[in-house]
Amino acid sequence: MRPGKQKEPSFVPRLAGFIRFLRIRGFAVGTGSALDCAQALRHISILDRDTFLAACIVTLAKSPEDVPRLIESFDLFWSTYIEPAESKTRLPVSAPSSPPPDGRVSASETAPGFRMTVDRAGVVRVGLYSPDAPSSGHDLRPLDRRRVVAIRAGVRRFRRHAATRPGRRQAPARRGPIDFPATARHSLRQGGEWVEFRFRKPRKRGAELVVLWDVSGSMRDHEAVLFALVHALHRLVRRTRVFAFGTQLDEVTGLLRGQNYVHAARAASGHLRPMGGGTRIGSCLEDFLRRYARLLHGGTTVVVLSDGWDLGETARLSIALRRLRHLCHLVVWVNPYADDPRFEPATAGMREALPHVDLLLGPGDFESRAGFAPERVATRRPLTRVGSRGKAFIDAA
Amino acid sequence: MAKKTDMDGVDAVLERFEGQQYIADRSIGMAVFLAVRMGKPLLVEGEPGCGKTEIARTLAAALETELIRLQCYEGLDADSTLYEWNHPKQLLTIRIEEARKDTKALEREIFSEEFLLKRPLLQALTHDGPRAPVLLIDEIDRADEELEGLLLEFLSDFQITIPELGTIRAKRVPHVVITSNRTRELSDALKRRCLYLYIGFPSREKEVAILRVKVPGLGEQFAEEIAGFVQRVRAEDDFVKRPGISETLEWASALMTLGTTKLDRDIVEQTLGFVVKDAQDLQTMQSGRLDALLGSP
Repeated sequence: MRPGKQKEPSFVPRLAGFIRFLRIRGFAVGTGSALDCAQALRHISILDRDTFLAACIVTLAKSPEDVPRLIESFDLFWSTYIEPAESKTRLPVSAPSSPPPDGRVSASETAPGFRMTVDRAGVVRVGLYSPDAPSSGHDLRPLDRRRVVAIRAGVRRFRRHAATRPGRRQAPARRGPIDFPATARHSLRQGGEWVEFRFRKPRKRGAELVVLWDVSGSMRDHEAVLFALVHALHRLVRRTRVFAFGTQLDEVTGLLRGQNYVHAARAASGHLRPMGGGTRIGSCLEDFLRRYARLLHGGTTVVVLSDGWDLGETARLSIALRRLRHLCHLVVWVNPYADDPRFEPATAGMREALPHVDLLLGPGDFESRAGFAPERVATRRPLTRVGSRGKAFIDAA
Repeated sequence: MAKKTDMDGVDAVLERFEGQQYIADRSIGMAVFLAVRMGKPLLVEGEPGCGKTEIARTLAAALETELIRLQCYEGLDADSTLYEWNHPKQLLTIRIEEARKDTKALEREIFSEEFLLKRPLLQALTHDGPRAPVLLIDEIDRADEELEGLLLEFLSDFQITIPELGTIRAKRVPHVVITSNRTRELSDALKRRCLYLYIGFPSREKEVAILRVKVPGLGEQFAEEIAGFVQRVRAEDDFVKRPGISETLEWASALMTLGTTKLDRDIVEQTLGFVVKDAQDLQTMQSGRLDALLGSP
């Protein structure tokens, strides 16, 4: 069959249903990408599953992390798809409070945190939260708005002092090397006399962050506040990559991209690996170094959000963290318990980590106006090992 | 609007690429086919040394057209990507002509195309060849984010606005290939305008096929040995830098130059720098890992 043979208009609602399904599952599929996909399907044979899928990947995926999720969603949607009773009607997709009584639950309900039903009228119903979801799932309930705003303010303060380095681009400055072209241009206002000089200096490059977020079971009580922090870091610092880890490392930057706080929380709740498998910080850091070492350079700040509970070999954690610190500018560890004045690094992982950490903070440092004030960090936590770079950070703050 | 090209299907793309000694899988074929057919830019991300840049070169060769390359780096600005006025030539012309021409005519003359230094993006728009050129914007992640903003008008409308001359539209829409090593996340606005392709490390079979095509005279058995060893190095969890296809090809060429036909410990140790390019990884290899990797089936 020649490509482009199947151009029946009835396929468009099906494709629209698939696009809506992807959005519900956390993909940020814009109208432009959806139109690209529709246009691409005109050039290929959609009867061949692999060809159809490959075209969807090319037009709808925007990162390598999207690809396996897209394949999973593709199989889930098209394997359970049932033609609606009236093909001209729009394919409705909704999240019901309970499954319909006449609903046939598809085999795909076994997927964690996902439920899909198709009723007799052909209505596809999708719920991100299964009523019988295991207790080990993630529940990133949005925080109180005032706390979220306070955390964002803290991240703005943090951003000002996170690692930056001078770039090659120049910007006007009050002092520095003389900018001769600008001075010449300015002199025209003075009749060509060079009475006032203009200056330029290298513009600072924006901060680059790598956030390593521990989503294991021991962090359950602090998940909501740490997610608010992760979301704020991603939203306010332009070059931020976010990785979630427990026993395995996964990049989750794509889940946060372009999403507001509530939607991002919902998407992350549905996609983070279930808790309960323990934490292996050392092996996850090794994995990070193996796969993403290229992200680290003299201008990168690494933020680790973890309580330091490690079921793996803590010696591996120490080696990996030493290597990490060698490659980046600043390692900041955010421990949810570090806000407590009586905090001591009791966990083996934390003890191994501290010598390689430049700065140890608590979530409260981001929420408080006096967050990174030297007296707060230095006096309230005498046990904190503040590295020389961390000291510079505090002094600057 | 679909353009008339010789690449009228994924299989045709794969065939043409193979003719240019580029072994591509169907995902690459599909991405290239749709990019050419839909006239959309193709964003290619992947591990370093896995053939991202080569896609643009091969596409240009397969379409028998010119390749225009914009190599990105930090601080790259509009002057180096779009156009620049040839100031020395303008000054010289003013000096020569000021006595003979009136000011208006002189101004029109010195702000004409003759005094324009075309940089890669403008070159691609004003290309005069019989076929649309291939524009390679290489390693865009090395450039500043501002460059992405500058590219948006170009990639969506294929036009550039020059205040003195007006808007210049593409004579033929160029085939645009953008590559990134993912050292930073690209903006959503840029990604929205592009089709997407990710190239990971190849399978063993594909790597053997690439070696056979790219390194003339390499026997199948020896290619299997080389690919097998490189695959085992890549599988090492604790290595910082994993070798790409370009490392495999360089290593195979070096071994061929040395007249080797079989991998043994001595020759691998002497040429290890072709495959392992990180000091710590090299140290790990030399402290016993090499024997384990060579001994593996």
